[in-house]
Amino acid sequence: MNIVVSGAYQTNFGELWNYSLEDLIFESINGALKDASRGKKEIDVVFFGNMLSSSLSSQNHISALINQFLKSNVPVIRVESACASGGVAIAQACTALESGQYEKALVIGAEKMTDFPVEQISYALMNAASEQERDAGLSFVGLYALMANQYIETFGATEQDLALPAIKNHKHAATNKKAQFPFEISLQQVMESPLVADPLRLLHCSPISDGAAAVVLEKNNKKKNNTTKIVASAQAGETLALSERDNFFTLQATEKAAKKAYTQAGLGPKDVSLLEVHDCFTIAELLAIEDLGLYKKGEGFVAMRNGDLQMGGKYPVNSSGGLKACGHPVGATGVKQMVEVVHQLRTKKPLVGLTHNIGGTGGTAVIHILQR
Amino acid sequence: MINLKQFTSVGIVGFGGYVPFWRLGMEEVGSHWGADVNRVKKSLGIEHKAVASHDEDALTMAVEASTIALQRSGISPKKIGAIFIGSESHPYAVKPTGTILGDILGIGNNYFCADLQFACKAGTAGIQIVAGMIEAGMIDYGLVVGVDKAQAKPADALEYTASAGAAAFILGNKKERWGAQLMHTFSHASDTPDFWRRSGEAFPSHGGRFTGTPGYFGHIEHCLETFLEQTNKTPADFDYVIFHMPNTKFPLKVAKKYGFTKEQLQPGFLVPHIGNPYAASSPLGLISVLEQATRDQNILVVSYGSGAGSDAFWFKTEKPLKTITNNGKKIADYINSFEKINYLDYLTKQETI
Amino acid sequence: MASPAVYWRKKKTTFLFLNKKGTLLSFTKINNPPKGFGKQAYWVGIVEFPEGTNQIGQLILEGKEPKIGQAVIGVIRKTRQPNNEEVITYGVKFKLL
Repeated sequence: MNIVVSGAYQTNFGELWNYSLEDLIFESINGALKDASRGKKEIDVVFFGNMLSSSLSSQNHISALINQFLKSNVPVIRVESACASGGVAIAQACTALESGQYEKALVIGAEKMTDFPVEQISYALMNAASEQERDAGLSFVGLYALMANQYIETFGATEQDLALPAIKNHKHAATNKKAQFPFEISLQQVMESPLVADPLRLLHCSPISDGAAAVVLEKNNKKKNNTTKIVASAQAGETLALSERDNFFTLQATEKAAKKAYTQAGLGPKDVSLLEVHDCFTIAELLAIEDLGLYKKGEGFVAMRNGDLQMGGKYPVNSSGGLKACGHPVGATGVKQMVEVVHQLRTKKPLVGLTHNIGGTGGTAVIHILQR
Repeated sequence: MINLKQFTSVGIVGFGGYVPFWRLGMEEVGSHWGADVNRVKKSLGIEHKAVASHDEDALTMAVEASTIALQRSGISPKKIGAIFIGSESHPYAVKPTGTILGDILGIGNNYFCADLQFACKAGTAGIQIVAGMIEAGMIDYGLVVGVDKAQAKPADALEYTASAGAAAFILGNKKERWGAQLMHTFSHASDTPDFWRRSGEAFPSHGGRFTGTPGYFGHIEHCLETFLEQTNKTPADFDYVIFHMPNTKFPLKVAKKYGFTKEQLQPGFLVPHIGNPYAASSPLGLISVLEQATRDQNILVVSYGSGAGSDAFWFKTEKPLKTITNNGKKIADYINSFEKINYLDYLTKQETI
Repeated sequence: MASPAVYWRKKKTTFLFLNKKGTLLSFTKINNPPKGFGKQAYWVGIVEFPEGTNQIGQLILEGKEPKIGQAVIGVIRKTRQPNNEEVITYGVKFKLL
């Protein structure tokens, strides 16, 4: 696979009272096209990742709105895969380009969440869970708390270990102008934040955010100055219900997608120099670095304690601040991860980047590998 | 007019009770409303009352009690041909609790059913209905439940005593399965508005002292006297007596008047530990007695329901009783296993706030 | 409004684990209930049953402390907070033994 990312842009992430969903979409489109030095009419196909616009805003036909904005008749396909909507939209675009039917694809991920009360959002997010999980009154943080408790019990990790990814990601976000929380936090602050679903506290959880991100993908881009390319795109799924799995601390979808991606790229975990990983809750980051093959199952938290995952460490994870500190407008995250990796690769320091985007409790996992 | 009939085909083949886990002390209610807590406790004679959780209701408690009754009976639920649940707190004003229970217990789809209401004697009225059906040969087995998650208006005197619980009985016509045989039953009723709850109202109202003589005593005493006369029995002929227990004073007063002893009354006298679970009150007293009784003993039950009426029953215990009792969780286990809550927690569990 | 047809159809499986004993695999306490589940915190757990299936549901503590590996039994309770018009949803919660 050899798809150039010619343009990459994300809006600010945060509580953006002055921006509607449309505003966010249009800003990200303009930003990505400008970055790619492409005009609206040059795009052949658009993929749009979004989870909640139908349940929260009663808007099911954003696609046509995008046609309106681009003033074109190209196909616009809405992709929904819970929190993996953005990543899956990119994967779909890659498939479309590989098919030879299209040359230039625009992928947008966007979400507007802050217009609604927390209870309602929590309820809408549960659409990514199974019926039994919903009937039990579980919230998303509750599901990840169930995973965290089993991980702690099985491998001897502590509640403090759960705080480490949040502290690290906030440190990274402190220098990210687009981040929702561009400031550091301390262990004490995390441990003193209120319990949401034991053992997960408020500061272990990614926030509710607004934001959008977009990338322009090209099959045959001859421009010399912009060579960042996607060399692998892999998606895998597994059981919707957490309780159906053999254990709750292994996301098989991540494992399978990762293996496929490494094979496609002809690389292994050791070759990856930078990652954007799906830390919807800090436990998810610990599980991800294990499921991606960077560490053995149950050893991720030790690596986190050793500082391996910081910028400048063995495997820098979430330079953007991750979902925790950069923000998590659900449908936008998967695309924003790619935007971040592209910008990092352009600095000429890291060579290989990996994005890891999850839907629900791991029902969907989509991984992309990029090379400078 | 009632023809006193000696039943030939009706006995209790299974029975089970349920009392929820939480208790509200009299001192909690009293101190909240600024009452003289010690005086209140002494006058009521009640330690604490049983309180159901916010996610429990008459149906969920009926399932708990019926499950034990079914287990003890040893029969397949499909053999049950009638379900009558008596309560003042049916979950729906329109939609029978009986069918929800029937489906959950797996009794099939061919059974007689209707929900009953007659204040605190709704459950015992159910026993009479099912007994009649069995005696008439319409069914072999029937399930009766008396259950309530009682409501009481905050600051009202009833708040001290209105509690929650369920008692279930499976009656049947197979002699070899009887833990106790039903010998006779009788009822006395009149239009006496001592305690009532209008449709749509959350809490009942009552006539204060009017609930005593014209209400409780008027009906229980008349029913008891006529029953003893018709069956040609005296109080001393019974090993156990159970009266409806709205508090400790009323049943003790009746017992004293007719010469029933403490030994006869004590085994079924649950009110000091659980308060008054309305339609489950005398039924739970009967469960407690059955669990302690041995064969060939005589049990007298006289219930009371406001509005008003009283049902009397004479049961004779049989040989299988002990075996049946040992096949299910005892009501004493529920009564002795509890945790105390405070007044605010009580209001939350009652869904008042 | 919750659909009575959905509740009725689900009844085929809702009460399968009533009175059945299982083991607690993991649990958590939900402090911020989603819409329709009231305001009070409650516990949720994943329970393993000898039949080999796992079930997820609310826990009933009644004075006990949940621990991974704890025995539980299915009991019937109201599972949602219906409004004044809706059908009452009953289901199975798991009581610590």
